[in-house]
Order: sequence, then C-alpha cells, then structure tokens
Amino acid sequence: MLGLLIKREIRLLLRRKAELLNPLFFFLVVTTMFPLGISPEAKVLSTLAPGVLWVCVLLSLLLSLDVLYREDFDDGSLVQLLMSGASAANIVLAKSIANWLFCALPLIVMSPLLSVMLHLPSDALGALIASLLAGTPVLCLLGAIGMSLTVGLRRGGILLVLLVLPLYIPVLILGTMLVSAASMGHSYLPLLLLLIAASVMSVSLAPWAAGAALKVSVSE
Amino acid sequence: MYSEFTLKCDNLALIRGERLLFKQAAFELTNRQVLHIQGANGTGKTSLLRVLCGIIEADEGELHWQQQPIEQTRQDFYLNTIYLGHQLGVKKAMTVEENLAFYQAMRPQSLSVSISEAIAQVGLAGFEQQWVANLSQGQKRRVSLARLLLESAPLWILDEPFVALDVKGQSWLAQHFEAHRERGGSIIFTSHQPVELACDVQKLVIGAQ
Repeated sequence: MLGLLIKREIRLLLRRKAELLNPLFFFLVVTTMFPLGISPEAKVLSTLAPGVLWVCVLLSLLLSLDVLYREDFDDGSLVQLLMSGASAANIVLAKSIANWLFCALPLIVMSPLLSVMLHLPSDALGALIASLLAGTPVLCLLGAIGMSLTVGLRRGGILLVLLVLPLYIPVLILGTMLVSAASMGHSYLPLLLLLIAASVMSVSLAPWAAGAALKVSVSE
Repeated sequence: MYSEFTLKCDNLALIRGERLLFKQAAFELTNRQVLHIQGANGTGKTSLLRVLCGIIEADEGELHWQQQPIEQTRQDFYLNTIYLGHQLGVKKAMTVEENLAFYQAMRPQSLSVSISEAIAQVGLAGFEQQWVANLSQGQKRRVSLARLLLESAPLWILDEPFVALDVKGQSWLAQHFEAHRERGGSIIFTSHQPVELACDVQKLVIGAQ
C-alpha cells in the first residue's frame, strides 16, 4: 500500500517539472545574493556559509511543500485516498518520502557547489552534507504537519510559515552548529547524532500527527 | 456476489455554521437496495453523504455498519464502499488508464473486468493514454464512473452521478445501477434529475422543517 502511494506521488511530482525546479532555483538565487550583498571576502563568507546554506535549504524546502498537498485537496483525491483504506499516516509518509527524494535530495546534491562559492572550508563539506542528510527529513516531516493543517485554508501560506518555522529553529541551530564546528576543526559527531535522533523521532511520530491533521482539514 | 452488509443510520442531524441543515435523517440499507436522497439546494444532501463516508462528523445521531458503531468498523466500511463526490478525485496529470489502475490497485479485490474494457464501456475507448487534463467535464465524470466497473465494493455512494453526462451516458449508468443490484450491491445517490430505474427506489427527503 505504501509502495503504491509513493509511486503515485513520485509520478505526479515528476510531471510537474516547473514546481520541482522552483526550490532549486530559489536556493541558487538566494545563496548567490549573499556574496553580492555582504562581502565577497573569503574570511567573512566562510563564517557565514553554514548558516546561509542551512537557511536557504530550509526555505527552499518550505516552498516545495505546497505541490504535494494543494492539488490533491482541490481535486478530491485526498478524500479518495483517505477512503481507500490506506491509513492517513501512510498517505503523509508517502508524500514526505517523495518530498525528500525529489526536493530535499537535489538541494543536498547542489549544496557542495554553492558551498564553494561561499568559501566554506573544504574540510567542512562532508559535515555539511551529513548534517543536511540527517536534518532534512525532519524538515520534510514537520512541514507535512504544517501543510496538513493548512491545506484546507484559502491562503494558508503565511500561516504555514508561522506554524512551521518555529519548529524548524532547533534543527537549524543544530545543523549550523555542526557545520561551524567542523569548519573550525572540532568534532561534530555528537551534534550529528542529535540530528539523526530528531530524524528518527519525526519519522516515527510526525506521520500520525499529520495524518490526524489531514482528516481535520478534509472535513471542512 | 457480494456478501451481506447492513448500514443503519439513526436520527442524524447536522449543523453548519449557525444553520441546522437536516435533522432526524434515518434509513436502513442492506443488499440490493437503492436509496435516493432528495431535498432542495442547500438542504445538506452532499453533507449527508460526507457524514456517511466519515469525512465530516454529524452533530447528532448514530451510524451503524454491520450492526456495529461505524467508528469501530470504519476500515471495513471503506473497503466495501466507493464514494464519488462532486470533486472526482481523478488526477489531471495522469492518463485515464493510470488513474483507474491506481484506484484498482488500492483495492484488495477487483471485479473481473480489465481496465481497457471498463474504459471502452464508459465510452472512452481510444482515450486510454490521454491526459485527464485534456478531457471534457463529462468525460472526466466517465473516468470516475469507470471505477465502479473495476473495483469490487457492494456499496456505492454517489453524489449527483448523472450531472455532466449526456443522455446516453445517463441511461447507461441507470442500467449499470441495475447490474450492480443484481450482484447484490446497493446504491445511495443524490440527483436533481428524475431518474428512471427498473427497480424499487427508497426515497429519503431531508431538510430542516
């Protein structure tokens, strides 16, 4: 059942190339603004790089959420999915997995390129990728909760941001601390383990919360 | 042949906003029965169907599926039901065939009709590989109706199934109601158009007095 749902999400995502590319362009454009706006100096940029990269990944992912829910809500597919016998948690999990594979993963693949532009020390590159791999699942799943709560609202965009961003902050802090620690040559393993723990926790809990929220949204 | 089922609805009432939509809606349904829900615009026919499907909660009253409160038997109810609402739930970005194949695969059991046969039966032969986005409103409706031919579920809950269909389509659907009844299935539907069915049709008129 979960496999079928994931296949459906991936098929639909791949047919909406523009929406799929939007977060990537956003990531590219916004990170390019920083050297232009602040300073092209390597010393300044390398201290800013972890935070800039993490914030941009986080905002790009926030942009990618709407595609997964809005259309299904509008055309009645969400009701059909909920009535198909699949559990609401599975529906959300399938969406989040597709979201991670096709929105988060491309961002992670792109991040080394942008980290070079921001003069991130090359020793910290591994830490950046590790932190994103461990942290982005949390972002996708917390986003799924926010999206499930707001999909029924006409203009849920701002509300989604208000709901989800505070929850993103701990992940952001952990992620940037991890990359900063690595770029100063410190050990980052404890922070990475914390991020992985957050990921595991959100994979096991968030789908249930989001599934319940989805049912409420559909009932309006 | 479908196995026995019962759906009992007692004293349902629904309030939306400040307005009482309907109260004391009650019926009993078992195999081989057709229930036509009637009422003027805004009396809550669609809402009643959505209550039956567990999408919204009634403010009063009880629903029993197989003699048990529906909250406990919801999954079993879903496995035995096809609900087609105003929003059809067909994806514009998928082809006709993909849409039907997905819904069929989600069911544990399906009827012995192939997808291409079902598409031909609803009059969409040749459109199998077309994007649903390119179809007309009536054709989209036909795609959703093709699900009725493919998925094995004794209870159909249909919200205005005759809307957007041409005359031929309407008579085809009425005939298919009959075929479904012969297999032991039941239908709950709403319709503003008068519907000519060969079998007995129970009527439920709702609305706040």
